Amino acid sequence: MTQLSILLAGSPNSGKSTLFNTLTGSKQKVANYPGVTVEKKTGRFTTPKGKEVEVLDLPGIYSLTPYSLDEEIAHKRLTNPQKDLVVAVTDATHLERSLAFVLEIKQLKKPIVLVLNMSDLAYNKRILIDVAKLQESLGVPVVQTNATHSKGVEDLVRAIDQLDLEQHQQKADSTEVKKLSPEQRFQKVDTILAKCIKKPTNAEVVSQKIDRVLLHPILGGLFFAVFIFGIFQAIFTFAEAPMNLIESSVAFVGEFVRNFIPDGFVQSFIVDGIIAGVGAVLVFLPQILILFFFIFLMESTGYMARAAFIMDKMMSLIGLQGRAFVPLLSSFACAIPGIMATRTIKNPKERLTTILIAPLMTCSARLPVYILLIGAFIPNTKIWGFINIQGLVMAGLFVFAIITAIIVAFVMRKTTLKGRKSSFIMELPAYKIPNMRHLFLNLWHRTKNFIKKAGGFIMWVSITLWFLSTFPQPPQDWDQPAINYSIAGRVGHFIEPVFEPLGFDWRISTGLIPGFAAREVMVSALATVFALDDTLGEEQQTKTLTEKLQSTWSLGTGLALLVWYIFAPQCLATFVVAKKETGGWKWPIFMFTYMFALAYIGAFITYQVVQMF
Amino acid sequence: MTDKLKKLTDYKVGSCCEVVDYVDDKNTEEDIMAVQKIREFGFVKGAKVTIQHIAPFGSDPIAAEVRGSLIALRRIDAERIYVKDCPQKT
Repeated sequence: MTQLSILLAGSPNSGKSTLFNTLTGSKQKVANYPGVTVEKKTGRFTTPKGKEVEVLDLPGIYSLTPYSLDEEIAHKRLTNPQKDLVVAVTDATHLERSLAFVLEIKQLKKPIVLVLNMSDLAYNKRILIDVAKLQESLGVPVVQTNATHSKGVEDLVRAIDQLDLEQHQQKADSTEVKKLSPEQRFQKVDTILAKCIKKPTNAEVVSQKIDRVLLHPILGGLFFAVFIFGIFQAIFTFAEAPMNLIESSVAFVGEFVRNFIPDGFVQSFIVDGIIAGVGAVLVFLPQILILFFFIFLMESTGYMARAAFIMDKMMSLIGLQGRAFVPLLSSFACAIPGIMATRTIKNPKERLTTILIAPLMTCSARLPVYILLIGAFIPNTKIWGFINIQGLVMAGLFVFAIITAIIVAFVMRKTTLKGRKSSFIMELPAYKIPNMRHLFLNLWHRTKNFIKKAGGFIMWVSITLWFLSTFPQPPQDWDQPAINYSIAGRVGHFIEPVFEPLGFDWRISTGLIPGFAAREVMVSALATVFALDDTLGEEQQTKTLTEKLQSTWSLGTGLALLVWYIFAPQCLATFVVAKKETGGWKWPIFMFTYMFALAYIGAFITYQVVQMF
Repeated sequence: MTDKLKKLTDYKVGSCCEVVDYVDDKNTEEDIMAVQKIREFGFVKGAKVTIQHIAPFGSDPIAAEVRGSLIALRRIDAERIYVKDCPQKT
């Protein structure tokens, strides 16, 4: 059982990841490189001869010169004296560029196998490659593959099997390789290409034709807007049914358990603690799945690069770059998948800034609270004859949040997260038909990861919050709402003075505690606090709740709570995901702090100003 | 001599030009790295470049074809490249 370590190196568009997937199948693991937020993908497979191979999929890079974190990591690993085999993956249809990279890798003194990936595409484009001559010119074994089919990878596995690593290592050690400048490298590449490859003059016609529309100054922008709007709508609408299904399934299971276990702590613990906690995690799945489906689709077809190209200027005005657009837009549906989507941003500071402002995008969970408060405190009248004030305020909340996010990003990039704007040079790869099987495989891995990492934590905190809101239970003769007797209730009363300047009473400060778990929980928390009869239907509850709010709170309090909600860090899952994506608690805590500060100041100003009239 | 040369950003969509040199009046590390990166993406001296697209907002970035690939770069980087007209095919 010989162990072999393989490093998969190549550019982002070489089909390297597909090759990795085909080689390792389900036997892969995604972690983070220690201390940084770059993904480390490892996997394993066994060759027919019984060799156990461990594969490390290095970040996709164009050259070894470390301009970015990705390149630094790849460079570090490739210069590590460990005995590895480097499998250099290239796009056979674009060897003008990838061979230059291979020449760079040759300097590293590790044995190399050159993979000409997408060789089926090259064949279709009538690109003829003399593999033997190429092997001779480069001095390394060359294998043609089509990574999308396992058959297409058999040759590679066979070649790896038959490789005498010792011999190749010796050869690599003894070969003198000069460090070449880019010009010299490309010159050498051109010489080799002239000998080994015959390429018809215009091999890229289809892609160019598509770009004539998709990158057209007007049509392209239009297509982009429609496409992005479509994604946004899809997340909003297609997730709704599954989310309702998940919620009612959770409720169903809860009811089922209620019938078996008698009333009491155990029942409450299982139903309101565990089952509700699990539900709180699962309910995000539909949105995550939909968003990532579209992101993977955009990446694998090559459209993502075009999207980043179109949006880059607007994003760079606030210190971000084109790729920040998709995560931020998705955050309007839910910041959880939005923050996860920031992985496509390579520059760590830009990625952090994007993660920090993502929760400011008015997410769908805020809507129930907005609707409740606007319904209770904003008059349902029209101004100028046709503009409904309630709708206007709703739109205003959205806009206000976006403007704040822009300011926060701008400030962050000029201060704490100040950094040079990453040189935005990027290849716009030729369009490709995506491999749907691999797309869903990736989707599966991403979801599994989410449930494992974020799920556990969220569930435990939900259980804790349930505990705090339920215990201790009030005695029989307690005539106030039950929650007042619990720990959460007592804490709520205790911290009331802190929120007094905002016009918040004990009900709000108590409701904020379970409401910390998720924004929409605030509505049911308020219902509990106002001791509403929970056998009433949701609609009836909202009506009654609205009336109670109007009679108990002043306009100032209502509006202050509304403003609080624009900024307040009231989504536990956001922080858990932010912790996972930033590799520590430092930034989630910072996020919590600045959002809390914005919420407090905003609500304070609102309340005080309204009170003056 | 160099101030007679045009920059990549002076060319319109569809036009072809050839890389001649790089702007080096600034010498910060950032500028040196930027030029190095530009070269590694294929914009080496003598390379033929065809401007293919310009982004809708603010005409930035631009997409140019070089060495068989379509590369997007911001104006701030494209401005570092001195070019001349492509030699006419006879």
